[in-house]
Amino acid sequence: MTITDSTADLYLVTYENGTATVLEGADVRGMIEDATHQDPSFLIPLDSGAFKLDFASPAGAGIQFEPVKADISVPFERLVEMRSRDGIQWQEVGGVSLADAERLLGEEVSRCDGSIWFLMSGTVVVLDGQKATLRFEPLRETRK
Amino acid sequence: MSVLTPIRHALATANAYLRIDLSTGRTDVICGAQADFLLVDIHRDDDVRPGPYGRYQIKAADGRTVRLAPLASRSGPMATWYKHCTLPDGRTSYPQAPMSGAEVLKHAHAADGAVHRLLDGGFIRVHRGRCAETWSPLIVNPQETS
Repeated sequence: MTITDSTADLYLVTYENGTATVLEGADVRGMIEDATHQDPSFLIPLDSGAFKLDFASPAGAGIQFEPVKADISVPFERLVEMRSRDGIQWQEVGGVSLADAERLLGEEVSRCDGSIWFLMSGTVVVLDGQKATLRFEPLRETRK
Repeated sequence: MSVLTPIRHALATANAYLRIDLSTGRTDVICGAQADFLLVDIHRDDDVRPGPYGRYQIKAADGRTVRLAPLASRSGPMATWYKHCTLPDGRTSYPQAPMSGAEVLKHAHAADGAVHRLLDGGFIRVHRGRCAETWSPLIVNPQETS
């Protein structure tokens, strides 16, 4: 077995209380199986391979799963900076270039000694060990 | 250098690494690019020591010792028996009775936190930012040797 054999598929999992963690694909599939076994309507698919488990239906609540990308490229030039204190309420700070996003990511991750995750959707997230504190989401609409 | 630019000579080549701070017991998972950034750009070459199974140990200038261990896919074949240890405080490990592969999987499914498989075939459970349990594969059958 070599190092390059390591192909753990990972998901960024965000719980209702804002706690965020990275789980193995095997664990995530187990959670999905358990939930859909109770009621298939608990599973709500979202964009870019993400999905949500919604146990009770006051909308918005639930556990959100976002697939983590294996490579670290960000295929977008403009990103939207979003910050949060609790991992639940997100405040949009504004649009930034990829170069500025790199700098802000570096600053944030060394401030909180956290971890950086690249998601399938092109979003980059910083976790401080408990919750997500900073997100860069791709700016999709192209204005000329 | 930034975390997003292509890497010159990569040290960390796995997708994700388990990061354990041996001084504080803090444990989390970081992506391979971040592990490589720590190894190549943050810490001095003399402070980084490679270990077996693609692991690295960093003896940082501030006195902290951090271990990075690559994660493997959870879906690989299981060993028949595993040595089981619990770590109530995240640092001291207390040996428990050996568990069979099937028991480990069942336990991993029900336990709190995240269970990750390492490249050496062992499993580790991370809960609340600390290592809570470890399982390492046993070569010999504990029932034959006892």
